[in-house]
Amino acid sequence: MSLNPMTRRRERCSETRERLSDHLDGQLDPDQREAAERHLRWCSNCARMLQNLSRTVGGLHRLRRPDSSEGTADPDRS
Amino acid sequence: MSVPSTHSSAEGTLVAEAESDDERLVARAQDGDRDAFNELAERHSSMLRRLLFRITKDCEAAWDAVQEALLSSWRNIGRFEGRSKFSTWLTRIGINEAYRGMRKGQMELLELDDSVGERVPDWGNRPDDVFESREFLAAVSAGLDELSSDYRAAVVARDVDGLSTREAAEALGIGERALKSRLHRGRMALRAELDGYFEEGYAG
Repeated sequence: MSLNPMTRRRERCSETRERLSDHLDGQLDPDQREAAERHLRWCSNCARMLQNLSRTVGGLHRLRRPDSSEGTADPDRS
Repeated sequence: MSVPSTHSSAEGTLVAEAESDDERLVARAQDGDRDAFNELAERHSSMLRRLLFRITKDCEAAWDAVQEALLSSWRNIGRFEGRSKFSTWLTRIGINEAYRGMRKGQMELLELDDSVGERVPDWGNRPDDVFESREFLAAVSAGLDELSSDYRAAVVARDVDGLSTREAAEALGIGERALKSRLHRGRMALRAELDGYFEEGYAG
């Protein structure tokens, strides 16, 4: 961990971004989740990235729907 | 993150009936009834082909993977224990076949686009229905097509088909850590692709 505040912030951003999918999927352990949530509270850039990623994953889930024009969903699967 | 329900209660009843029909057909196929297996194949092959096309991006390769998956599932139907739905089991075999066919003579590097320090585009405070619109879903679909095959296979297996981390890793023949890494990089690359769609929402 660097002592330079700007470098440290970048490290926090990198670390958090690396874990955004696990965060969305509820697959972080409690310590990692707390660290990520703490960073996301004050880093608007990473918070926006999480929101955009969440919208992206939501769109992918909707491609599953049988009634989606782009869908690939199997009606036998929910 | 929760996935919205995709079925009304009436549709849910139909889905439950379809699943129990599958169970009956599987039982007959396990007794060697080829007609029962053919009916299963007919019920699931077109959905499987559409899903596998998302991975292969080639009609013929998708169709080949479906054929291989059906052949393999017929040979191994005796080993199917019914712990998952037949369609899930067949999908896992299909994804494995599609990915195997696609990987012949191909290696792709996995790089995470690290843009720490740059401003992340704002998609804006749009209402939820914007993110459910056909236009947005078409952009998601087009962005998915642009991903490298390793990322695309992981994202399709987990997010489009809805397999668990373990199931998707098994289908692609990779470890769970590798699957999660590819899934995350694929999602992040797709998110970056979609920034263009929301360009006008950029509040720089």
